[in-house]
Amino acid sequence: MFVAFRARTAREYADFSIARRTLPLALIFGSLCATYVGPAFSIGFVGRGFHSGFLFLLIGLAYSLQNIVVGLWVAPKLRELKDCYTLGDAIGQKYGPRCQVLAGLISVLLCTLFSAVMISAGGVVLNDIFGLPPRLSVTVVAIVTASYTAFGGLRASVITDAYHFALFALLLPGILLFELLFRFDGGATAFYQQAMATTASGFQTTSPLEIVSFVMAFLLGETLIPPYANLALASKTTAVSRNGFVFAGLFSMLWFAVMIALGVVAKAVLPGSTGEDYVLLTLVKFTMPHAAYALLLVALVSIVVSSLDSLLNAGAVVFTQDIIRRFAARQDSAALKAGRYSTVAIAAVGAGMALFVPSVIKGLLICYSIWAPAILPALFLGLWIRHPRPLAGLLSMAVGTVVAILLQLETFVKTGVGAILPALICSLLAYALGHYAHGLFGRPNR
Amino acid sequence: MKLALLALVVVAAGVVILSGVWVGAALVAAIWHVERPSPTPPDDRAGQTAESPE
Repeated sequence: MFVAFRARTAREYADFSIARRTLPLALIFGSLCATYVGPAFSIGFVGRGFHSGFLFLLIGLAYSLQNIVVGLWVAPKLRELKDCYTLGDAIGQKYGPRCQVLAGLISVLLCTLFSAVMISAGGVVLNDIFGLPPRLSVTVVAIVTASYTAFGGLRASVITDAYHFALFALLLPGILLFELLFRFDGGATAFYQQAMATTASGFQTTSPLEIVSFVMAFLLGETLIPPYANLALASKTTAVSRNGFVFAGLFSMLWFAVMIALGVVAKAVLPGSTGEDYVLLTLVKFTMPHAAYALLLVALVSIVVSSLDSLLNAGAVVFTQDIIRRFAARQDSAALKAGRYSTVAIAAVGAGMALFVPSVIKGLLICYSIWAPAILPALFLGLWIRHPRPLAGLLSMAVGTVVAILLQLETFVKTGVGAILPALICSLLAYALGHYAHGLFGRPNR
Repeated sequence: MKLALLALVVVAAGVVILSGVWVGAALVAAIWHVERPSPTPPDDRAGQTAESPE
């Protein structure tokens, strides 16, 4: 909270939404990493390392690759666009205002769903630490995060993210080095044998189809979700935008290796029946000084909050820019006010939905499955095709969203490889159909 | 090979820690920049530069 309030209040809409495009490389990199390192990439990965060794490092490399590809080829192209505050703006510039509104609606829906998952995760951590009732924990997380995000906008979000990043980038590798030096018996040979045995067991217990579905989710699920897109647009230069994503991708490889190694070390120390989500907490609780455990709990809250503030700010900016400003609030002060109210509204809706989130991983997988097919084909093809056609963008986004949501329903046919791949194929086919139909029957391009 | 795996993990942990230090330093610089009061408005400063080269 102290760091959040040291970041000044946003006084103009450009400050609130894209921090006046002044963010340097270190802050873009720190904020990107703090946003993607949520509960799944910390607690979840340590648990996966405990049960399946380095298998999940190989799967996680798909995520690293995605960040590097976005950094090299997509983020600089986005940053080059003039007067662009959101992905919706980029889509609007390529396909027209209708597509911008649809992209805005999909983005706000996804930001709200992601926020609900993060608020739920934060509520669980507060519940574990202080024993607060679930409703109260969820409310505290939502109010604290929304308060500084609503006033400080993107700059406050990025500054608190950098603080949170520095905290957990020092703490978690520190825990690993402490465990390796003082708790792990047998040295390099024992570590190697433990890692190989756990990894072999991971390959035996995970089917190839499961591995494919995980790789797809890691490769596409979080690609350029609104908080990342906002950071690409808020970078000081195109080079900062490119390098921020590339460095974040390279960093993720190292981060996954550290988390998995913690899981492997824990395997030699904890009983095999330890639940996946409790490996990290139990390891630190029983093998390190109390101060380290207390610091870890603070770091876990900050991991959740740093993901949540980025989602709230991105959702608010998208709602204001892609939807409200299409029809009203065109003046700067009105847009700033709309952005602040939207932040609070998304936090409130997210907090209400958080009570119904089945589990963090399940919630995230649902969001991933919708985002990739709904937005990515239209966005990427729009950036690369010389004259993108509005009908193609509209059909691709609509079909991708509807198919992805239908595939989530229990009654619908389960594909075995998750919803992303089939929904993505439908979205691409719809794009191709729209492209040629517009060419045959449509009016000349804008 | 056995030593290499542990060495890679230790190097990865070291680089993650260094990244934290780098971002922490940038954070301090960013907060300091925000806190530092601007002595004169930008337009005035530009005028002063034009008139007094020192």
